[in-house]
Amino acid sequence: MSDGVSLEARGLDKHFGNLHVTRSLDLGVSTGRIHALIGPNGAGKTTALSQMSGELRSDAGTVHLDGVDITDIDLPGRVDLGVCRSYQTSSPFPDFTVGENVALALLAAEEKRFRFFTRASADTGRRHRAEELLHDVGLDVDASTPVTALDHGTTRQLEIAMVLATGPSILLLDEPMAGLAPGEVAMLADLLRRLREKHGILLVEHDMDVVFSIADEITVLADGAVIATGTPTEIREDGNVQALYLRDER
Amino acid sequence: MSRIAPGRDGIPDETHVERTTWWRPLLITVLVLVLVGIAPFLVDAVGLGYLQRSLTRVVILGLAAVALDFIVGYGGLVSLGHAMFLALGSYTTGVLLVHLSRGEGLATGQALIAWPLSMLVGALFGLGFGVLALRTRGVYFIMVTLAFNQMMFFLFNTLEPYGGDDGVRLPERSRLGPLSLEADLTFFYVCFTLLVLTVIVFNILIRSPFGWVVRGARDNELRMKAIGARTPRYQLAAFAISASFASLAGALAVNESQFLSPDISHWTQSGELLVMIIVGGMGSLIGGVIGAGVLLVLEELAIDFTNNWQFFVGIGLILIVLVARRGVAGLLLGRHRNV
Repeated sequence: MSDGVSLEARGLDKHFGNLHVTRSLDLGVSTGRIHALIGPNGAGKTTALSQMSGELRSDAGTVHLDGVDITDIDLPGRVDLGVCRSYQTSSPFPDFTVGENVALALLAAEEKRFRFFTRASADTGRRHRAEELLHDVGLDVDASTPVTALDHGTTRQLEIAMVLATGPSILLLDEPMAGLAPGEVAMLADLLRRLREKHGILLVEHDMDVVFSIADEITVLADGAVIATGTPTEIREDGNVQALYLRDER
Repeated sequence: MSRIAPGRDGIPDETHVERTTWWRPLLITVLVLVLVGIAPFLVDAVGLGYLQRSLTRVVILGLAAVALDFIVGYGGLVSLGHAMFLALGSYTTGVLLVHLSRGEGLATGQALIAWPLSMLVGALFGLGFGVLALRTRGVYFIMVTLAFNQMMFFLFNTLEPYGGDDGVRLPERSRLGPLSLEADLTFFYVCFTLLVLTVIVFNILIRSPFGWVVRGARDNELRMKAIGARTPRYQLAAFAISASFASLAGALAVNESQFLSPDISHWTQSGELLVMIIVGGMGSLIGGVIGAGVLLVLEELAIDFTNNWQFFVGIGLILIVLVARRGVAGLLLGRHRNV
């Protein structure tokens, strides 16, 4: 953890009305590691991720990036600092082509001043970087394809390319493999392994085979609280976790 | 994963944005503008010369509708307050003309001063109201802009030095540099030139990096923030730009009617601008001009046949919206979009 960047949540709390969705959560991820966040539906995984990305304000607790308190920095502000999230539901911009979606993410992240009178699509440097990113995530379609013409699997790849376009050091990925065919899951798992070299990844995921094969560390949430955290081997042997998942299967 | 070919089968046409013929929306834009440009001679040729003044109003309200379409069609922010920006432009230019006619100092009939000043006033009020209105979205945004509109309407009604709710006649129009605008045809072409410039400006804006962020925020504002854009800043700037051009239209409108009246700030005028872009085609820019033309010409024609013209105009509007979800511009564009 000495090199690279680390994102750390300390004692995060969140209520939605009477519902206590996050209970004094400690969670951290750093460059070179994949930290998976698992747990049954409604455990508060996405909420925790939203609190770490700056989308949701926490009732209590702090978030630190390399030790610096970034609790009061909002969603776009944290993107500037290199923390970027994806969403469970694919949400590319339907009005733009595949290449333009990535270019839009590039310009949203890098342009801090309004530019009114240049053509956004005329920036060939940005267009090439967008095509490179598409290539990096293994998406080999014509950049001028409308996003509405992509199937579910390729849309998920596009989502990752858009996150990478913001130049993040920490990726917060919310079920990137949801709804993918087995072959696609394997390819995306390979991609995450490759991305781990230069990024830290906090991964919310339901596919247990994937989680146990690629994660360096696993945290199990139930009803908003951490019930176990450790290496995949430790988690597999944890009595509480087994009970939780057996309960779910029964 | 899977390779896919663009434009494969099974893709619904409505969502399939065609990019190969990017020039088509621009061609339609140019054709509509050319048609408007030669319209004064066309109506003369077919013996409808009395429509001349309506054409000037088509151009002026078309300009305001194009500005409104920028934030509604491309920004997803439905404003029911644009009549107040029309009125702010009217009052800025009108008040200067009133004082000029009274022979008082600091007054001017010079359009080169009054019209940019009108745009500045519109932009400043747009920033002020925009900051507050943009704390909300959706239906609440519509309601807040409507509330500001009503507030300004009552304010204009109390301006006794300028006739209060009766308004006041303007003996003269603005002068554009050395050019007198008293001749209706001259005035038409000055307004037309400004309309063409406005259409060009907004067509550039929607293709700029700024416009991309505004359009992205329309479709998914949260996602736009999640890739690093501070969307409210962009939306505020877009709102102020739109307001500023609406105020330019207001400055022209008070010159057209030569009558400064708070009626132009009534919320139904905001509604009429919205109807224009719905009929003409939201998210096309040129649709605002088409809508203004259809609406005002329908009105003029129907009024000759019946006193209940609004009833028949209403039926016409329902038919247009039923037949063409994306308005008249949508019919002309087919699967294409102006982006």
